[in-house]
Amino acid sequence: MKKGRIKVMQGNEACVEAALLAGCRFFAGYPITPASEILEGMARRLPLVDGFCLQAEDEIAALVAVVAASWGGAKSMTATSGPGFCLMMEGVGLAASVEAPCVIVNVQRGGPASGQSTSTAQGDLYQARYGSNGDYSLITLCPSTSQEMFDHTIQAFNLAERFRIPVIILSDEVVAHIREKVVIPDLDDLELVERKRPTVPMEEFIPFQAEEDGVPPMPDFNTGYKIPVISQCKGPYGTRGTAQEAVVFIRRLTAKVEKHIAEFADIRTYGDQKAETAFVSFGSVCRAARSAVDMAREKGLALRSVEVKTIWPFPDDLLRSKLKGAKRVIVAEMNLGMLRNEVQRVIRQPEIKIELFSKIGGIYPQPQEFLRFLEEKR
Amino acid sequence: MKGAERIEIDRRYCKGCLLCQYVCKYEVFEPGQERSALDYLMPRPAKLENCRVCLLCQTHCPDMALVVVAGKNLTAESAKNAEKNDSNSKIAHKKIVTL
Amino acid sequence: MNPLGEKYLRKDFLPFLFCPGCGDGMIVQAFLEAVDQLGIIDDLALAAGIGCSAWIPVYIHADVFKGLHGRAIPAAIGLKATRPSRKVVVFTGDGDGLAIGGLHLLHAARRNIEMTVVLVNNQIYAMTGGQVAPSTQVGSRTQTTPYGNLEKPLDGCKIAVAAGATMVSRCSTAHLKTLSRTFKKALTHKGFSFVEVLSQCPVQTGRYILGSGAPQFNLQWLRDNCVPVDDPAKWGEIEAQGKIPLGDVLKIEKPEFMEEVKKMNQKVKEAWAKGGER
Repeated sequence: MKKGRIKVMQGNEACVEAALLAGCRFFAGYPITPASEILEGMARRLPLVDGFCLQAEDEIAALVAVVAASWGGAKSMTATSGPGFCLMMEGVGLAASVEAPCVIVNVQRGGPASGQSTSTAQGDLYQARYGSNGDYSLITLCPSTSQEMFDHTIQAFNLAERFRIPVIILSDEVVAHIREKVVIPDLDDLELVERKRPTVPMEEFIPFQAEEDGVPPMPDFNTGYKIPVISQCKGPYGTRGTAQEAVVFIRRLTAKVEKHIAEFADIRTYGDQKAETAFVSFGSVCRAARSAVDMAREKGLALRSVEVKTIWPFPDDLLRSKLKGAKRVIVAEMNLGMLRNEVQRVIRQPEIKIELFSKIGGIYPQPQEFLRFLEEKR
Repeated sequence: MKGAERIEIDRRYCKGCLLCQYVCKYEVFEPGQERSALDYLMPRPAKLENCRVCLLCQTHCPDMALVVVAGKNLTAESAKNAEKNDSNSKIAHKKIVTL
Repeated sequence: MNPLGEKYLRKDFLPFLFCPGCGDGMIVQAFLEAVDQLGIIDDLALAAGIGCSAWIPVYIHADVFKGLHGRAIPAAIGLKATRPSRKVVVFTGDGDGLAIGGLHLLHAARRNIEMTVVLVNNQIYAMTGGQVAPSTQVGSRTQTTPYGNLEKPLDGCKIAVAAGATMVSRCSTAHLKTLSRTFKKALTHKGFSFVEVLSQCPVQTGRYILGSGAPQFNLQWLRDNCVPVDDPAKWGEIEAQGKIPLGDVLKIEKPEFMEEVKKMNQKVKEAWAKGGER
């Protein structure tokens, strides 16, 4: 049983609560349905903790301000939805390139373009990983409940500080707006991670040379380090890199995350762990998947629900272990097969059938539809 | 000698733009024959004796590659300029063109 | 070495990547002159985007954030807000600052947030090889206007004034002493300061538009075509002559954004402590 205060709140509100507890003191955002509540909540609460909340002139400015604020020394966050997320893509690459810890919440809604502003969807999965130009790596978390939104927000800040990357919280309109119980731990019970700061003086400090874990220490601006932070591929001293230095730089940016997947990979299972039929889902669809498992159990049918929580970098090994013994894998998602493609890539045994249960148009899949899908596609 | 002991042009950084020659009112500089490390033809302070240490060449050099080092017989104005120079100067390079 | 350079340049990044005779290097020195006189090098947080002028701050041994094209000002806001005592200076160009970054200029000026935006105007997109810029004169033949530019140029100073900047000045690299003095004024101005600097680009503007790539010719062009005036009301008649007026347009005091934020935060905290929300 979790310990702490209990509040009934929306996922968006839980995000604000968690960010403040994690130490976020800079937020910049632009109003967009269904994420505006996060900006509004931060606008109300940040002044109370001497933080700063900016409604920027657009999402591009919002994310760039967040990235620079990170170098300014603050834990920083932004929140948006699909259209704004598109605008932020260059900024995602910037955060990765200048290795600025920051959290980006994308509350997915119907797409493409303006899509369906008040309806849920999961069409931004690839964009969360590959939206920016070039090679880089980042972590993406997928909450399915208000509690998970809270927990993932704390975790997102921790992972951002640990790896010096942008961490994306891939929420959706359902998780954002459903009101449910959240247990808010006391600050003392929370494990919070701070970025490594340099332990040597400026003369000895090599700003973009990593330690063993692939992550260099990060000084705040105006603490005596005088760092040249540029958005180009860089050599260890921050100069524009030669070709060889660029190779080293890009590989380090990706390896620092991907070599450590085991530290944070998280896939949860529900139902019969030995069931031959498994649903794989992420985000709010996990809720319906669980209900489907419960409904099936009443009918005597064994099902398991496999719920991906850390979806990027994709947890290949962990997924294989969670799907062990499954003969029929149904990927349920609110897009045309993005998670399914990853599952197909990872599970290459021809005897395992991988199917897609796709619900688009902003229509949330009901648990009965999962069972109907099982029947119809036998 | 009116003012400058020497004019140092750092051959590591000079790009031969000749703006020092352009701004100089006393015709101190002319195009030279020597090439800088960046392979540009450098100017030469051919008439150093004309230099009044006005420092226009130094403040206008787009590569901050030029320093005027003041000499002993200075006018009041030059002395002020020269003093500003000296107190900040820590010149100790091997590749500078000195005349 | 140049004593200012010895004191303030990031030596392992030298030489400057600027072309021979480029005004950007002159702006580095004029800026360092002001910084030296004010003694603020440790408080500086410099922001830039992409372009030739964006490299100006990189050569200065200070904390520098050189991010995305057109997004120097949002970065500057992030830096200022996280520690208002920082002296934030943005180096941008006519493309980075008036085209892709134009919107951010409007809003930073509107907020009157304490920072200095130095907009280096060489009337072209130089870094990418000489394409037309929002500041290029009508009729100019550039790489993207091979038959002559049909678009009227934007006046950065007028935009800054209209958006709410509280200090606006235009200088040039042909008037370096004034430039240095203006930098000093801007760095001590309590509010949003905007300094446009007309600067020579011998390689692009010089060759494609003005007729010569010689640095001396290009600096002379600025000397001939930029007219310093004391009274901003005279700008119109100078523009009518086809010349570029220089000078201080505006310097007023208005409530500065970060100070207002601090005051508001204090009031809000007190109200919440008493049990109300406002």
